[in-house]
Amino acid sequence: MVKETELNDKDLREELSKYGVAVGPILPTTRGVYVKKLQKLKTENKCPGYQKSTNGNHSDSSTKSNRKLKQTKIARKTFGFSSDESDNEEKLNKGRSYITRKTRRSSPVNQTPPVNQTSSKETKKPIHRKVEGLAEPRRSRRSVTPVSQASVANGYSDDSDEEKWEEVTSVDISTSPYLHHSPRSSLTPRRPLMPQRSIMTSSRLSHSSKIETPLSAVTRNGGKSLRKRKFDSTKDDDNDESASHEYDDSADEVVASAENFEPKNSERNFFSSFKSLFSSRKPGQFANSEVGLQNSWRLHCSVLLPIGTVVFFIILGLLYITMRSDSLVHSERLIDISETLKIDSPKPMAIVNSMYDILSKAAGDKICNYTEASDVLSFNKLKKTVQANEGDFMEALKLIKLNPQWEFVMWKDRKQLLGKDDNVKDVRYLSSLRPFIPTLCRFWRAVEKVLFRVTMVVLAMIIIWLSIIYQQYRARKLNEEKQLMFDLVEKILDVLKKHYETSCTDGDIQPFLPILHARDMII
Amino acid sequence: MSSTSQKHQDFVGEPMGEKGIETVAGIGKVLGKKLSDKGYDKAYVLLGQFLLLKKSDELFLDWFKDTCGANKKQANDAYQCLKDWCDANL
Repeated sequence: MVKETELNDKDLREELSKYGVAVGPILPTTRGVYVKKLQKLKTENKCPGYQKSTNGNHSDSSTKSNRKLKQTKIARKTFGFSSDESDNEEKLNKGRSYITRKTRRSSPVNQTPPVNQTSSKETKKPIHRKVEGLAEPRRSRRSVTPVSQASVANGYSDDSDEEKWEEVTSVDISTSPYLHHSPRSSLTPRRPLMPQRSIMTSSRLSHSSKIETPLSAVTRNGGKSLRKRKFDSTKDDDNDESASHEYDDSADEVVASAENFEPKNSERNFFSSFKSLFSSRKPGQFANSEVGLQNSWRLHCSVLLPIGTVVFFIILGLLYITMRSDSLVHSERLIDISETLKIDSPKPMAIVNSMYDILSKAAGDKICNYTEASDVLSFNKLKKTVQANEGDFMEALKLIKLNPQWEFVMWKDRKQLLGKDDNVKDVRYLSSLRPFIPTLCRFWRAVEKVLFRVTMVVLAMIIIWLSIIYQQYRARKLNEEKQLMFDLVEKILDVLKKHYETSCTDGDIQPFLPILHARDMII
Repeated sequence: MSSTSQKHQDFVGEPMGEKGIETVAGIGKVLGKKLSDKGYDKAYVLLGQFLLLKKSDELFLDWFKDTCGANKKQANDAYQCLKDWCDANL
């Protein structure tokens, strides 16, 4: 590749404009700055792949593209072999590698892998290669154009002998955390996923990496920490900026791939997005760029649906439980036939039964707020509704007094209960402790209860959340204050330094400065 | 941080005319000397370079630091000074 310093003005301008830099006139005085800028952009590799697809015209030296052609050919061979896929898949690979070639030719990614190329040359040292293989995915991920991964594979798989083969698998493992524990089996798990994979690759060819399985694309996000650890261990010489780039990128991919692999990875995806939901709240973590913010919003939306479903079902369950466990509801009829049979004459028992019905209905109506009337009914009214003669009614009252488990309440008057020793004749009012509540009423009672409880829980959560946010806010404020203080100190030092410099050159000025003076200068 | 120096205000407040390079904020005697040696003896020459770089802060700061070995603060001051002047006078 031509070095940036050797580019002519036109090429330099073109290269820079590919990165979206507004290029001014390139003159001897400005050229240096632009070259530097280009170098910086290239090392950062600000996803030329994306821009490539929009502006199609690119130039490259012919020898370069020739070599790449050869490389992709080999890559294709490796693919066909390593994943022993069907012919169909092979065709897909061909198409892919063609695109690969295209993107490759135009992508400045090729500058970064000087390491890459050297690594593929020194095929005699397996251990080294392994390490390189581990480090490789990162480099390629960072460069976003997936192509460089394919080139990694070529480097190792030129020959088909046993040892080389292992090298390829080792690269595979490193790219997909999911397969991390089973190095040998890295070939098999791909198979069932092939159809999905083809969908993904056809829809997002420029984004997806060639070697990785879609599953790994998803799991990669899930295994963020794992990957991070791995990167640390490889001791790559990259700065944090590019790393964060990469995280954003992977988040992007998760969203995209989640659409394709919903059924299989929905749970994992759910958790990973949940994680990112929280991580986006923490300042200075992965979601520090606009892209991250955007992604986190998309994730918010995708998380909302499952959360909503879960909440709905929880509320439903709570409703059911509350309805069942309502202490006031007695589903069984109180006075059963077996008791009725013991009584000689059926008449008083029938009266008791109808009285029970009436009283419990009244109690239920009161609870459900259907009527304003009291649930305590008067003796005379009851007698009228039951339509019993005096004797039978008295018998019934006696029965009621004898069976306290029926939970009738007998009142002497509106305020006084009938004592144990009192005569049944004193009873003036009756009520029941077992209200009959209609289903609808029961349901509404349950809804009210559940809503109340849920509201309380939500309120509690909101309060906790707010307090957490407040804590964070305070911590940030404190930090800011500290930062301000440091800045001030720096300013003071600056002022003093400047003063000292001027005092050195100017003999009249003394090297020290009054405090008030320094203060005024800063203000 | 938000406040600007007297030098800055003096420079931005009026057309630069034939002002020397040292009237630009952030450029003292040492930097002025270096810049003069490289041909940037007047403020308007520096402004020309600034405009050639399309008022881009990144590029100008880079260039400025490279050219005269200024530190970050000096470069920032000079950039801000020219930028404000342009906003006010161009």
